[in-house]
Order: sequence, then structure tokens, then C-alpha cells
Amino acid sequence: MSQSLHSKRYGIAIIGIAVLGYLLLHMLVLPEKFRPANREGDAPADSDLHTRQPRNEENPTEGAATRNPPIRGYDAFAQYGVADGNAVEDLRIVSNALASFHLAVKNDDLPTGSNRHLMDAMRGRNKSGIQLIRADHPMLNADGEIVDRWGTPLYFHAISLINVGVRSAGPDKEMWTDDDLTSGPAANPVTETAHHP
Amino acid sequence: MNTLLNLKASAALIPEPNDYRALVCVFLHGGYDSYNVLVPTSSTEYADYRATRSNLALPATGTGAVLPLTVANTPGRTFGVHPGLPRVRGLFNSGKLAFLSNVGALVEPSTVSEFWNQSTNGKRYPLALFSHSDQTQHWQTSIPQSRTGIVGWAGRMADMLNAATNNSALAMNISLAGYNMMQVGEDTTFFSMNADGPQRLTGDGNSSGRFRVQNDALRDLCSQTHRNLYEQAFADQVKDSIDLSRAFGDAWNNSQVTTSFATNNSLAQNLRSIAKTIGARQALGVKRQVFFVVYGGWDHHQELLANQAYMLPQLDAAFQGFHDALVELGVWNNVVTFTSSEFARTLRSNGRGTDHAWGGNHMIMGGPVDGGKIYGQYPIIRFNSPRDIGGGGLLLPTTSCDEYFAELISWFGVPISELSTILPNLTNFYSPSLSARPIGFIPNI
Repeated sequence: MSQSLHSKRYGIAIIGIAVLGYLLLHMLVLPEKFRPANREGDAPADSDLHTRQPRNEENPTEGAATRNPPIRGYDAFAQYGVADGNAVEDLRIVSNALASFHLAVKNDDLPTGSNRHLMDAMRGRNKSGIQLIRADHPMLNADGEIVDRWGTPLYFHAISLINVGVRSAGPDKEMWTDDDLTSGPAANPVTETAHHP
Repeated sequence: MNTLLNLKASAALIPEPNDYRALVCVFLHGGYDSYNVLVPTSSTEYADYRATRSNLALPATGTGAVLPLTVANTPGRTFGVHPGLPRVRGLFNSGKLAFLSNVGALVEPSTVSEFWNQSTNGKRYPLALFSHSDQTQHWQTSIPQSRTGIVGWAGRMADMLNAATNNSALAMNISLAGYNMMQVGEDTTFFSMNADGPQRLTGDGNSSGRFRVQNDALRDLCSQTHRNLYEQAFADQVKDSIDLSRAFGDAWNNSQVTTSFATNNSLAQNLRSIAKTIGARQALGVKRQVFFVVYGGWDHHQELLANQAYMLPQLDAAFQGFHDALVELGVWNNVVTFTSSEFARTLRSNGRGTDHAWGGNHMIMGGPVDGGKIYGQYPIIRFNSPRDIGGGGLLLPTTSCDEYFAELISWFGVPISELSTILPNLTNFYSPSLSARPIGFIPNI
């Protein structure tokens, strides 16, 4: 009886050592992609930004498998650029993300205008530290801009803080041509003579 | 606030009997691309310009080349203007017009590095940069860190000066473009007119015919006595408005300006209407006026070259006509005309046009202006130059709107000591204790 109890204690100790060893191995040896990249809540460091190339046009799903664990905020761009989506849906995702960001960052101000400014803010460079896109999202180019399915950075046309149109250059990769895709009227130039907010 | 401003008005300049002054704001709505309006032509700088603007660069020689300017204050640097501006060039070269470079909405001075680290360094910047409506508001309020509880800088100035300077029921501020925030004060607002004169409650234009009958009928209704105080106050307001509109219309109709203005040019026609109003200044009993006119359609994301080739000559003709009319009226030395726009545009071509940016170049015209000069700091037209915040050549302004407007309102009659009452951010850029104006394009205090 006593020997049996000893055996059980040895067994528990061995299992405990094995678990500790696994955890140590997990922290020190396993590949980086299996570890959390950031403690939850950390804003991305500058060195983390602009490091991923956009999805390869010949292999449009490249990069999708290497996404990191949750970010602070929510992954509004999770379905952006995925293989079973489409460019129109992508623009809707971006528009929704802009609206969500404006709601989430209440007392801060969502930068408007350039793609890079917006994406920087959405990666967490805002006073609240809220992130709506992963720093390593495969559709971010080396300059930190979100690109469309043809690799061209989107254009954000800011009518006002809460009315920002989104434009994709489309298949011809030339902005302001007939095959452009837009999120709505706000993506078009201001043509009226309105002169007040 | 009203009492405070009225008290301060007592310290303001009370004009001499014949001391008339007017400011005319020409708002170029849409964000005009001013780096194809004022172009560097020195060999090195032009090469940078040419490379940076790529397919949108204007040629230095030959057909469509920039028109060279004779600039008095930029040793070693030469400049030209868009080929659609030959009259503006003539006004500049004769010392009647100046440019102010890289001016824009700012809260406080900033470097590019500070801009990119604003979340940690506490620097403040205009809200919603690069947005049409927000930046329009910022240019019109000059308080770009706020969106609420604010009024326009010309409105605040009218609150301060109108009672002391104008012996008239007519507002100091007159808009030829309907509502605008620039001219809204806490206690004053603007009078609305258009190219055909005052706007009337029951119709536009003529003071005779059925509109006059309608106005007479409405006036009679409003002349009745009402028991309810609110009804009485409303009726009085409407009656006063009809009377003011009629008096203004009569004075405007009697004001003669023989200078020819292009008839198919909305800006020219609006400036003609302003010239006629200025001509009626004595009949109207005013000595200080601020006019606001819009020339819109400058959001040239596409077809920039073609659009500017059409629109800039319109502006060119309108400015020349306005100059000629002011000379005809004998008030060339009493009026300063200046341009505004919510932002300038990117240096980088998007293929067919340019996109929203920040600091840009503006024109100031008038007898009081020390013209033939480029004020401020004309930037290097090159990506990643010291004032480029990135994203395709978005230039961080080196001169703030506050400095620009302070120069104008100081000339207009606001004492130096009161400038920061109108422009609360001014002291971030300029010390009111200085004996010179912030920039110097209107040299004499």
C-alpha cells in the first residue's frame, strides 16, 4: 500500500516535471510563429511595422496562415483580401472598419487622408492603443499602406471626419479610371461649390 | 463675451471719416493645387519639381511654360506662375500682388519628426487633417483643435469692431456664397447677397415688379402690432430685414462701376458685385467691411492640368477686373483681397491629378500690400524634403493661418494687443509685443 502510494507520488512528480519542461521548451525552442507576438494590449513597435510584403499576386493566399493571435481591439480586416472574398467586399470591410474605429476612439481623432496615416492609426498608433488590423496583415505593403487585390494602395477621400470614401484602382492599377471600385459617393471628388462644413 | 468684446472695441481703432477698409476673401473650395500655380524655376529646384510632379509638371520653356516672375525677396531662387495667370503675373511684377508660401492650419509650430510622434510628445494638430469639411472649418475659424462652440475669425472681429466702426444696420460681414463659418460671430452674423445684389425674402434681383409688391405686402403684415412678444419680435426682425434689403438694393443699384467684367465668369461677376457694394459705402454708412466669395471646384484628383488650364484664367481675369474696378472707384489702397483654400495638394501625381495635402501658396492683392514678393518659406518640391510628412509629398506648413489672418486684421483695425482675442492660437507663432506684423506683406502698422 505504502509502495503503491510512493509510486503514485513519483508518477505525479514526473508528470509535473514533464509539463514544466514542455512549457520551457515552448518558450525557448519552438518557432516564433507558435508564440504570442505581443502581450495582449501592446501597441506594435515601430520595428514591427511595414515589414510584411503584400500578398503575392501569383499566390493570393500567401500569408494567410501566419496570422498572429488576437490584437487589442478586434480584427476588422480578418476577411480583407481572403481568397474566397472579392474586391467589392473588401471595400465594404474597410468602410466598416473606419466607422468602427471612429466609434471606438471616441475622444481621440481618427486621422483622415493618407492611407499610411489611417493604417498607422488602425495598427494601434492612437491614444487609446486600439488595433483594428494586424501589424503583419498580408495586405499591408512595405510602406504600411493597405493595398487592393491588385497590389495598389487604396485611396481614402476624406469629405469629413466621418465621411471617408474608399477607392481601389481596380484591375488596371491606375487610379481615377473607369474600372475603379469605390465605396460610395464620398470616394468621388468634391465638385459642388459647398464651402461650409 | 459680448460685453468683453464691446469693451475691447473701445480700444480698437476708430476710423477717421474717410478711412474705409475692406477685406475680400476668395475661398478656393476643393483644395487648389498651388504648387502648379507658383513654380520654382531655378535650375536645381525646377529639376526637383519636374521629377517630383512627373506627368503634372509644367514645362519651363515652350508651349504652356510657366511665366517668369520678377521676385524682389528671394535671392538665388527664381519662380514663375501658371501660364493661365498672365494678369496675376503682371500684378505681381508691378508690386500689387504677393504670394504667401506653405501656409496652412496649425495649432502650434511643428517639425515632421514631432508630427509623427504626436502621441507621445503632446503636440497638438488640426483635427481631421486632409478632410474637406474639417479643414474648411479650420481655415474659417482658425481654431483647428476644436469643432464645437466656436465661431469664425471674421465673426469674432465683427463682434469687436462693428459697433465702433460702422454707423449702419448693415452687417460688417457680407457673404456672396451663403452660409459660411468665417463670418459668423457670437453677436453678429453676415448679410447675404450675390452677383445681382441683395437677396430678398420674396425674390431676387429687381426692386420693382411683383417681387416689390410681395415685399410690400409682407412688410405691411409685419408692421402690425402683435400681443405676443415672440410674434412681435419676429415681425420686427422680418420688417427690418425687408427695409435693410431695400435700402441696400437702392444703394447698390445706384453705385456705378464701368469696369468690364467677364460675363461668363462667376468669380468675376461676384467681384463686380463687391466692387459696386464698396462703391456704395458712403450711402450705406460703413467704414469696415469683410466680403466672402467662393470659387469652387478645385478638388482635382483627376484631369488636374486641363481643369487648371480652364479655371486659373477665370481667376486671372476676375482679379484683373477687380483691380481695375477698385482703381476706378479710388479705393485701391483701401481694399486687400486674399485667397484661402482648405488645403493644398500632394506633390505626387496619382496619374491624373493630385490628392489632399496640407500647406500651400496663396495670393494677396491690394494697394496696402508690399507686392512683388514671396513671403513665408517656399518649400523644396521633393519627396522626403524637410517639410514632407510622407504619403506622397504632403507639406507641413511653415506659416500658420493665424499669422496670415493676423496680418490682415491688424491692417483692418484690430489693435496688435487684441489680435489674440480674435486668433487665440496666434501667440504660439507670434508675440503681439513685437512692433512688426507677423509676416510683413502689409508693412506699416
